[in-house]
Parts: sequence; C-alpha cells; structure tokens
Amino acid sequence: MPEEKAIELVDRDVSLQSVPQNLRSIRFKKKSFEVISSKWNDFRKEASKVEEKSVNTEPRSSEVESHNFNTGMNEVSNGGEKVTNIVPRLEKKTNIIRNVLSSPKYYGDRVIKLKDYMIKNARFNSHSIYSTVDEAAHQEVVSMKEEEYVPSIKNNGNVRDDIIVVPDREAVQKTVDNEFSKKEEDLVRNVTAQEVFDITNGKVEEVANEEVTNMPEENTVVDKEQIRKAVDEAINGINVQKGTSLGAKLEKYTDLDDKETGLDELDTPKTEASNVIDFNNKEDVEFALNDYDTDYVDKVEMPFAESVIEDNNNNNNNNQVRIDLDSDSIGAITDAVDKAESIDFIKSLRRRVEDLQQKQKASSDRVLEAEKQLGESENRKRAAIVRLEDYAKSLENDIDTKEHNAKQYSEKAKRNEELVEEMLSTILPPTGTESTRVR
Amino acid sequence: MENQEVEKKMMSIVAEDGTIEEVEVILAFEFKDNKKEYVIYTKNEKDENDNVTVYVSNVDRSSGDAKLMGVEDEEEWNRVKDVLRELSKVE
Repeated sequence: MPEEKAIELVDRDVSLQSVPQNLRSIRFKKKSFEVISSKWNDFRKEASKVEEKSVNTEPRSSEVESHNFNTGMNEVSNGGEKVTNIVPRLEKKTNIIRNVLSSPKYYGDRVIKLKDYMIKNARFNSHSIYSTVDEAAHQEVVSMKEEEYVPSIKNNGNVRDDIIVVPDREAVQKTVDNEFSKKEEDLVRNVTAQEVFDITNGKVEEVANEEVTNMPEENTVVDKEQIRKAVDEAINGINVQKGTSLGAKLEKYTDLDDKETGLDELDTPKTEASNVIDFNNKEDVEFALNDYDTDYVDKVEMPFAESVIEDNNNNNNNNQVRIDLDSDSIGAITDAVDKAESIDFIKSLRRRVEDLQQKQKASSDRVLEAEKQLGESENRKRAAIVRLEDYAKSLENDIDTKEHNAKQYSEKAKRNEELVEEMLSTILPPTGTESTRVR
Repeated sequence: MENQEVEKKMMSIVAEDGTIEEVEVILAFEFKDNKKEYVIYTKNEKDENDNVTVYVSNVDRSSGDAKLMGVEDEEEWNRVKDVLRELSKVE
C-alpha cells in the first residue's frame, strides 16, 4: 500500500508553538510544493463543506434551536449524554472560563489581557467536542497549573506589548466550581447555528478579544519591564539553547537524484543538544567525536536543520555549506576538526604500528629459523674442514715419508754406483788393448 | 461557498531567540496505524530556483496541548518522507 494510503489528512488546531529540537526540513521543487498545497487545500475545502453541511442540518430558526437546546438539557438531567448536549456544555465552559479569566477581581497583583492562545489552550477545538465534555472541561480548568493560565510565559507564548498577570488560581478554581454547581438552566441562552459552528471550530478568540478590549483600564497594573524580563527568562529556559558554544544553523545542499517527484534527501544525522557537528567530512568527524572518550574530544553542540536540495538541472550550487557562526563557535569547530584530524592520524598510525608488529614477529621467527640453519651449516663446515685438514696432514706425512725414502734410495743408489765403479776399475782389465797372458 | 477559497492555515512559531513568526501550514496528516500526527509548514523561503523549504514536525497531543516535537527516529522520518513523495506526485 502506498504510503499516501496509510495516512489520513487532518486539520486540527495547532496554536502557538516553539521550534522543536530536531526540526527536519525538506526542500520541494516548486511544482511538487504546489501539488501538495493543492491537495491540502482541496482537503480543507471538503472538510469545511462537511462541517457547514452538518451545521446547516441543525434547525435554523432560533425557536427551533431553543427547543433542541432544552431537549438536550432534559436528556442530561435524565442522565443521558447526547451529542446535542455538547453545545450548551461547551458554551458553559466558554462562559465560565472567559468570565473568570477576564474578571479583574480574580487576578493577582498583575493583570493579564487575554490572549487568543489562552482561549485556545482551553481546548475549544473540534477535538474537544468529542471528549467527555463535562469532566474534561471541569478538569481542564480546575487542574490547570498556574503557568497554564499564562501560556505566554510557560508555553513559549506570545511576547507582545501586553502586560501579564498571574491569576489567583484558588479563586479561579473556586469560581469554576461554583459555576459548575449552578443549575444549567441558569446558564442557558439562545445559541445560534453560527455560534455553535464558531465555538466548535475554535473560533472563540474573536469573542475573547472583544472582551479583552473591554476590560477596564483601571483594573490593570502595568509593569511591563518586569513582565517582559520574566517572559524572556521563561522562554530562554525552555527551548533556546543559551550557553551552548554554538548558535549556528548548518545547512547543507547537495544534488539529488530523484527527479520524478522532485523530492529527495541527503540523510544527515539529526542533532540533539549533545550531538556533534556535521562538518564537511561528516562521517569522519562524527566517528571521531562519537567513538572516542569524551575526555579526548569535546563534543560540540549545535542545533541542526536538515535540508535537501532538489535535483538541479542547471547544475549549480552543489555542495554549498553555509554556516553562520560567532568567533567562539568558529574556534570550537576548528578545535573539534583539528582533534578529529589528529584522531584520524593517530588511528591510522596505530593500525600501521600493529601491522608492523605482526610483520616483525614473522621476521623474528624467520631469523630464528635461519639462525638455526646457519648453526647447522657452520657445524658441517667445521667438520669438513677438520676432515680436510686431517687428510692434508696425512698426505703431508705420506709425502714426507716418500721423500725421505726417495732420498735414501737415491743416496744408496749413488753409493752403489760408486761402489760398482770402484769395483770395476780395480778388477777388470781395461777392455780392448791387453792380451791375455795366461800359460 | 462552493467557490470560496479556504483561508490559509497559519501557525505561530517561537524561534530560538524568542521572536514569533507566523508560518503557513501546508499539510497535516496522521498515520492510521500508530496515530502519529505530523504538521508540515513553510515560511515560504525560496531559493534562486524557486525551491521551497518546508519544515516537518511531529505533533504531540498527549498532554492535552498540541506541541511540536522533532522526528527522532530515522525509520519514522523515512516513512514521513515516503508520504511526502507520494503526495507530491501529480495524479
């Protein structure tokens, strides 16, 4: 089911309001905006036609209305509760509250002029009609806290040139109780269809304003400065973030892709009073400021308005960042960004160190292994050297021996030759020249 | 009455600095399943391309008074955006 079908358009009263903390904003293309506005206006037109029709089905003549009015009251006295009873009861409530709050004798030292918001705050809207009016009306007035009588102070109410009063709540309460205890017949008056329509649609401020302007001036106590100061203090204490380091509003504009509906959005985080700044490199700053100890980085407070730009065929004003800051705010942002950058750098450094540590361990293992292999090879080398040395030694010895023998043999041979020479020269005649003289 | 245009629905907003400004409500709706109510209003701020900024708030009536609240939940916000997308389509 499309989302549109899952909703119901409503047109209820929303009186004076303060800007909520996490205000969301969206930027519509002109055409899309017009489509939505048109649908809203059509809905309100239809709703007003239905209202008028339901009002017009009531008897138009005052005589008939009176008759219905009395009928309604009889039904009440008999214990029944009909919709027709709501009109007189609502009127009664209107009168009670209006009379009480506009009567100076029930005021305290300061006097207030009724603001339309006070009347609206008595909940004279269509929603009230369908509640249990008696109980609701009684409870609303009687149980209202003092500040609710003065919504201009406690409810971020109107700040205008009026003077402000805090009514005597006990006196108000007593009067309301007395009023409610009166017979309803005493409060009956003719009600026209238009008045019914006006009351049930929360349009009593016109009456209230009229009554306000008729308030005798001599009953008013003027203390504008004091009141204005009280109002400022009250308003400042509620939703205005005084004392934060930033009073900025950051708006970020980016191009979007949704051309069909003209509506798309850059999802940026909402901010609360303690949220971080979304500043350019949003994810990094956000991560840095959120995922580290608060001792490490100061969080920066800033109200935040999320806004969206439509897909722009003209291809302009991309990635504009508009910031409206005072010097303190700028300093705070700069510090935060510096810290965020430092944090980022430190993070990457940490990762690098951890990586190197792992590599170092692997290298150490390889060194140990190589060392072991080296030791073993050294041993083998030494063993080989020893063997070679021994072999060389043995060869040398053998050579010495052989040399010695050779020398000896040579000397002996030489002596033998000498001896042979000597023997031959003494014994044997010389060969060839001598005859033999033997007889 | 048939041809009569309805008046603009206005709302008074107190800004952070305490000033009051009148804004125009351009849409208000309630989800049928969870009965959460939202109001969309504009200050008629337009940029150079005639794009209009609108603001979205949740309306909390639980205390009796109507109070504007922020849209806290991202899922909720996405849902609201889906509604606005649908409503902004030409039928």
